[in-house]
Amino acid sequence: MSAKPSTLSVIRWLVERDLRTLVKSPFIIINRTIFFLIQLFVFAVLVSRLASSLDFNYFDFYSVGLVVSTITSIAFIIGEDLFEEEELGLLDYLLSLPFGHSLFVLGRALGGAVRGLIYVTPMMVLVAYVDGNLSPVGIAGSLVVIFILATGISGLSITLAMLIRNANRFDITIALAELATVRVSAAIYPLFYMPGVLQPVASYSPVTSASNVVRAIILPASYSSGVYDWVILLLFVGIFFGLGSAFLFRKIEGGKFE
Amino acid sequence: MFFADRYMIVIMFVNFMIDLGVSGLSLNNLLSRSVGFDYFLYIAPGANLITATVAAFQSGRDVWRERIIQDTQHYLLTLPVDKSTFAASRLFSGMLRAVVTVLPGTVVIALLYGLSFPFFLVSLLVMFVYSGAVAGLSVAAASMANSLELFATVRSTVQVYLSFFSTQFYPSSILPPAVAAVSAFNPMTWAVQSFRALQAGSVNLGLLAPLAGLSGALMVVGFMLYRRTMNY
Repeated sequence: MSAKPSTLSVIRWLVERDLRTLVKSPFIIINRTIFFLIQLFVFAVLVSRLASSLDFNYFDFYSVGLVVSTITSIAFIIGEDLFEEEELGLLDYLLSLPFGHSLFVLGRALGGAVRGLIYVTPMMVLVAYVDGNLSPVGIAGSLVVIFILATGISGLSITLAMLIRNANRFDITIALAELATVRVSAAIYPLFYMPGVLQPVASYSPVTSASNVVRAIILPASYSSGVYDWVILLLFVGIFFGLGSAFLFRKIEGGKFE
Repeated sequence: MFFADRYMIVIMFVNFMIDLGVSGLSLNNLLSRSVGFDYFLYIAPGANLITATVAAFQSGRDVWRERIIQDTQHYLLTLPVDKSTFAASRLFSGMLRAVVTVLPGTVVIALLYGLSFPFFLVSLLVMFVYSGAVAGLSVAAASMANSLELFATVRSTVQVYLSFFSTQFYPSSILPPAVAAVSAFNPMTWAVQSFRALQAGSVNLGLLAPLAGLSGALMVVGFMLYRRTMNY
């Protein structure tokens, strides 16, 4: 009888499996890259022209937020993968493998985050370059922050995939979740300009926290961040890792898939 | 089937309200002083048209799922309906579904713009014609894509093209020549401009005609490609 695999080898296997999906998905990589470049060099440039009277550089502000919102969008894909696996009946097989379900959630969340990190690393380097701060330490620090955010978003996405059983509903809900996490945050506009009632909500958003920290790293002359940004980020990861695990346990109880 | 799923309509409306109430107001606060006009009203119809885009793309998603995941296309083709009628009705139902989905949003825009009832009906017509363009694109994509990845890629590429290479966010006067040329072949440009003309108190046929032409062309492409999947 073969020995039970170690925790690290299980996580490595799950992460590798998600990375292989990345390699097999050239369309998504090409599409996301083009999407990013268009937002940076068309949308941000044109809106910055419109925002000529602002007392800060909107292009710089937006460019960092764009990397954070891109990783957020990419991290949501892991839930779509899980949903597809569930539709195809593959998830039941994966859950029957000899390791715990919490480990499965951790491995998939990390897999989604690593995959996202590979996507956005060239984007982060490009933004650091156009914002005039091409420091390896700064870029590495920013990638750490982005990785933490991506792990939490992957957990959220897995939670939604386990919670919703109808494909159309899942598609729409995941798009809504993505929209809400990015728009109700300081990723693409400063909190100060958001409607007053939303400012307190957005200030507790992990996307806001990640944007604040990365801006403080890439644009230190204009932006700063605090310890609370790290607290929010880590809390977010903890909560959605827990929820993802809980809903996977519920999934094992069965139910009709629509 | 769609009316039975009220969840979808509610979620789409929430989506629209986030676009309009969060991004629209924030961008308005950010830009109105610089641009010298009410930027919120300027981009408001775009939020509704984006919701219509998502809703109309669902018709392609359904076609794709029937072909690839559920394998029910063979069964559907055994129904006593002519194949061409079947293909055309799928496109038409996608357009109707999109108009129903964006009805609450269209009411919100009509209220913001202070449109009269006849102009409100024209705005619904704009949504209907625009949805035809997106339904055509989505059914064309669904007919050609054999993987979810490819279909999702086409979907997001179309959304990027419709949003950023149009006058949804910025006036045509500031567009670089290349972007301006591309935006002329974008149904979003003509649909959003038609809406803005309604606010100014006119039904501009010079804007509606190119929209109808583009939508018609894209629907024909969608129809032909979908029809081709039915031949064995």
